[in-house]
Amino acid sequence: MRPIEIHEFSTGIIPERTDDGGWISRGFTGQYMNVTCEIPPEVERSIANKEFAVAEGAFSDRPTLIGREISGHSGVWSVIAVVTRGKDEKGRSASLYRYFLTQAPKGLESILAWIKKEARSGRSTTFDPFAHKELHHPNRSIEEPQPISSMSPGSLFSSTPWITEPEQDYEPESINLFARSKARENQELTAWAFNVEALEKPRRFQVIHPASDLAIRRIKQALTSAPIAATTSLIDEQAIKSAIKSLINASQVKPDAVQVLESSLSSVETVFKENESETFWHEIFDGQGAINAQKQQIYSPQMIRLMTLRAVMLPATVSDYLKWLQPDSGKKANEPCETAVSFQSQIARSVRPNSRLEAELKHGINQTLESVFHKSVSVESATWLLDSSNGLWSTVMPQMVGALHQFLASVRSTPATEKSVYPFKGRTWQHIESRLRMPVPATSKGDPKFLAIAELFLNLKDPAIAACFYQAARGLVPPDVYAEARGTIAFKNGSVFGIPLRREKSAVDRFLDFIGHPLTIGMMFALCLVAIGAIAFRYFETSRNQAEEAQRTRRSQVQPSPDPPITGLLEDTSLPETSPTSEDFQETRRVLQSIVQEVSKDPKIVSVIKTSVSPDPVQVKETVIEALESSLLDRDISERERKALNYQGIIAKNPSPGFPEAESQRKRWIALIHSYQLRSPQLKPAGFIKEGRETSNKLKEDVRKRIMEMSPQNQTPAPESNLQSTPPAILDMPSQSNNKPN
Amino acid sequence: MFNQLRKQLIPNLVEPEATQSNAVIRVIGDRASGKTTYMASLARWPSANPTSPVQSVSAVNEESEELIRKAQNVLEQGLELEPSDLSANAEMVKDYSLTITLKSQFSIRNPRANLTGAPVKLNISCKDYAGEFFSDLVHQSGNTKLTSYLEDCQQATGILILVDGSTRKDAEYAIAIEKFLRALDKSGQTELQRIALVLTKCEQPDLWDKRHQPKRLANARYSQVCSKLQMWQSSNPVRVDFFTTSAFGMVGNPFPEANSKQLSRSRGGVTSVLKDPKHWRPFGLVAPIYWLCTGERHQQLDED
Amino acid sequence: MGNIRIIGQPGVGKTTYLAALAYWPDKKRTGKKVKNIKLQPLNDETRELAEKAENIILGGASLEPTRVEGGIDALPLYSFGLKVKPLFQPAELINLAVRDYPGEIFAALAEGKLSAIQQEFLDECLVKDVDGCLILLSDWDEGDDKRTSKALERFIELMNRNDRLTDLRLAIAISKCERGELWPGRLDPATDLFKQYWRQTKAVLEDSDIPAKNLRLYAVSTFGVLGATDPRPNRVDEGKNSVLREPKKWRPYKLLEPLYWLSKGKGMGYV
Repeated sequence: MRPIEIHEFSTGIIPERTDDGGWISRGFTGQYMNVTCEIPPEVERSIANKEFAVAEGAFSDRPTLIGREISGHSGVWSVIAVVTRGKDEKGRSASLYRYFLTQAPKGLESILAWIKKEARSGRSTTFDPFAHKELHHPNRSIEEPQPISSMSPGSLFSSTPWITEPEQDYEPESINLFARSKARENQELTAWAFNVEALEKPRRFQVIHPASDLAIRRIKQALTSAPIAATTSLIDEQAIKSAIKSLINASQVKPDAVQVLESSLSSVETVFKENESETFWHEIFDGQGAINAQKQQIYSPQMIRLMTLRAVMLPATVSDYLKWLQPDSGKKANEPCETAVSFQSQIARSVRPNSRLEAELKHGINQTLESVFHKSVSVESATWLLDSSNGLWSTVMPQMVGALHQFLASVRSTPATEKSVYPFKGRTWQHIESRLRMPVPATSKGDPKFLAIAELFLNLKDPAIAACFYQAARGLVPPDVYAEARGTIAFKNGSVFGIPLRREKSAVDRFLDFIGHPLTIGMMFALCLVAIGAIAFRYFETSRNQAEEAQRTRRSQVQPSPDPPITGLLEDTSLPETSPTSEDFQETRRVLQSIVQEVSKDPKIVSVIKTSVSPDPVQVKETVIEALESSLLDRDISERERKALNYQGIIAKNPSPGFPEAESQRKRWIALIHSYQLRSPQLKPAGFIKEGRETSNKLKEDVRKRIMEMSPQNQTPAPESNLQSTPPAILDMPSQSNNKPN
Repeated sequence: MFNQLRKQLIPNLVEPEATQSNAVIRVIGDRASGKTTYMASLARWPSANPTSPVQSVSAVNEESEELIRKAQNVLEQGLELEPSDLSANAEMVKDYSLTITLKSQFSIRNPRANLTGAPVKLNISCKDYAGEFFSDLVHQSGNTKLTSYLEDCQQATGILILVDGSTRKDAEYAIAIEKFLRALDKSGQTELQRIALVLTKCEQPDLWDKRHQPKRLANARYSQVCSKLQMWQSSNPVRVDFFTTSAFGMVGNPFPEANSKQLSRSRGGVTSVLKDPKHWRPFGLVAPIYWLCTGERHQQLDED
Repeated sequence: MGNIRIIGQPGVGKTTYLAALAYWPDKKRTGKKVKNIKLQPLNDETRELAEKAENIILGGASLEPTRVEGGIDALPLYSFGLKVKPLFQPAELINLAVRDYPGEIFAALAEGKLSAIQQEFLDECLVKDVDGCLILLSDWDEGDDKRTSKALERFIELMNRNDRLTDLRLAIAISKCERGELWPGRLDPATDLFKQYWRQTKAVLEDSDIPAKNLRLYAVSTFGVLGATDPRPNRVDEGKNSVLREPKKWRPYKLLEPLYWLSKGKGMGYV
């Protein structure tokens, strides 16, 4: 028989001979020693994934054997590790490994046979730092390996891994055979452990032969708490962890690490079912602390990077990411957010177009939109994620917006019966679509879910999408949004993406509407009629006055007024707190009389009145009186109001006693003067006027101005003066309709 | 009491958000200087003193949870931890993430540390290098492993140098530390802010008595190391300070004695195991972490 | 505070001195209460020593000499908790960490030939955090004074070299002052004992640059005398070694005072 080559390598230590011929370790070297071949990378990965590792803290005196087949680029390697305990100079003990490996067929059997032969000839196959092995000088064995036969030692055998009873005195060869038959059954590579106290990855074996009863307990406990990743050796879990660690710990992102994660996304998917692969990733990230960072609110840079990475790899966690990071907290300097953005921008550089990672980012955006829709994430947070100028998700946002445009455009153009192709999956989008299909009645409040999306896209400066969602939310689009949407390509004939929009009325609109409303027009018409009537009446009155001038004396005044009592004049005025005495009122009369007298003697005034009102000299004084009354009222006085005031009866003459209206008319004057004084802060609101005081001076001036304004040369706005508050007189405009709102 | 008073003075005082301080730490030191035991005891945080300013220590990632298991399965069983394997590459070294929450307390003795009355959270991620890294500094230089570790050190904001307080290796350690510092200079590190020299195993009777004078004790035991560090500090923006710790602590009243059973004593220090796991109360573990995170010494932690 | 080393010629009773401390004759053992002082061993090594004290000192046998082999690390480090309540003063708690060196070290010091391993002991003795050093003397012939003064000269030189000249306390104690010749002089050892028997030694100390405040002379007795009215030593000589004569009457004399002073730098006061 041709000899087969059995290579080997051992844990690297610095050995030191002891006086009793043994040895102690003076520390690890970090490299393998007694190496006879280049260690195959797949074997190295298997060791790194702790598939040979016995757990710390427990150990038996007899060596532990771990056997497994490892497949790689260069075929299948059969490896057996012999694990023993060594001491260092401090008296601490450590597990030391001596690995044997071969590529021969029936490799595990061959190695076992060779180990047995070595033992027979007194040569140790346990860890020996002084064994002196050289590169390319493997052990050679001509031992005939045990034939492989199917074995099934009992009913418990069906569970994987099968844990034997320690009191059953099995040989390693038998354990190997059991494992082989189970492996063939499960279509796996053989893996077994012999005489172990504890294992790091017990799930990765078909058969485990424990060293003690305590060992059974330990292994069974490890099996129940084993994460899903522990079930398979097809995924290089350690490489994924290293990549994550390297990304979260360094301030500079290594593109290689991003690539490792990206490629493992698909390899994990091929190994696990869908929900299992999600569990796998959760276990990986929680193992690095994601769950604790979230629960305990830990915001160290490492945890911020880890959570960001998790949100990339597990798009379903994007909303948790945003809720944890709180970009909407309103804090001025949100350090965690800054760290997150700078990490995102670094990752963004490693995301290739149309890559798997890009797809995950799109999923993440979809998740974010759904979370905003369901109000589990605030609009501000989503805006931060999708709009950061240096962000990661924002890099694929243009594509997503494009897809969303397409989606919206398809809503009305495809019949409801036809199944549309969603760029976004899930029931949320079906719900959105059906809402967009139907006309929405206008309401003032609207659906908060659709409003949230609308606000988000308004923040993201896409008024077309925002308009669509406003329309869907409340059947109305705010005018400013409408105006902006109007400028987009999607806008056509009052619709965006074929979805008809209804523009919400602005305040100006509402006013114009009001003006244009038939009722308003009717009312206006009626008012006009009243106005015309009033003018006609006035004209009639004037002509009658002129005709009956002679008789227009006391008698007519004595006659009770046919009009209803004037209340309007008093409505917005009020009497001063202390009513003036009759002496005060007498003085007021004199002052008013003298003002009228003085003004009507002013040649300038006279000429203005003569040119603009009437050349009749009688009209001069009358006009001045009217101007006086208007000045006090702060607007043009109507004929009716003049009557109610009755200047001639109350001011020009002292009313005769017994005159029934005198008291109420006097009160009107007092109120009028009081309101005039109230309008000007510099005047004392006393309700009467004293000779030579401010009120008299100001009033005189006001009267004069009022008349001067009537002159055609003086139609321009009044010169700057304390009169500025006086609104320009609208002559003959019925006061009732003038100040009515809307 | 002050908290209460404050609450009365400021009605509707909302419990303020915890202020968080972070540090990326590398623990270096000779083999068997107690690095993993320090980390495991910190993560386990056993039978804390009710008056201690530390409210809780919690493991954040799976590696630190494993650390707690080690403390339970090994240290609390009165066994020794295995020596940490030397990884060929610093990226493979276990990175322990822990969060230490300090009670929100307003203290006159320590007003600056807790001015806001908010609880303080110390978030650390901490790599515990195998002791071979440190001992190799003495004997070797320029191999790829060392380069990888030194590169990894550049991420650190703080370095804990752990030395067994009872060794007589001042001269060797001074060489190692000098080489280490020189390598740091050469690497152009920018993150590093503080280096703490921590004397471990201070439950030893000749160390315990002087635990409250860490600087004096360090200078007495490691005068060359201290002078190297102090010289380096004078030409660097990085601060250096000194601490004393005991992972096992003391037990008993009124004469507390070391809660450890000594296994061996040599020039390289003592090795011991925990004696009474029920009364396991470590001393001074958080004080250097607090300083590495905040740059300020916490008086109560120093005394705890 | 209480990090102390004990040196002295071989057989001077260093370990016995510590054993007496470890087996502090308190109420439990002698039936009499030792007022205001409580001394307790704090680690296994000290408890083992206390056990030896019980079995060997009280049993009338003697302790084996402390060995140099194995180096400094093979030496036990004794740890005591001491509670002292001086009159009119609050109680004090003091930790004492004490190590006694093999007598050969002192002998080698006197001869001026130190092996590497012996040098290591002395280096450890002069580390900065050692607070004080107790030097025990026993014989009082002229040769001993000469040897002791030589050793001290070298020791002081080493102190100087290690920069400990001004911050290491030295207590020189005559350890077996229960002997009839010495007992009367115990009350003023500096004048009555040192001036007479250790003249050269005293001169070396006085000529050195050690500040006076860091230097004290004591007379102590591990075995004590049989009683206040019976000044016969409570000991029996067996060749070079001594054993306790009447264990029931074991009252050591001034054992704690030098240690207290070495660790605190002040006298213990009246207790």
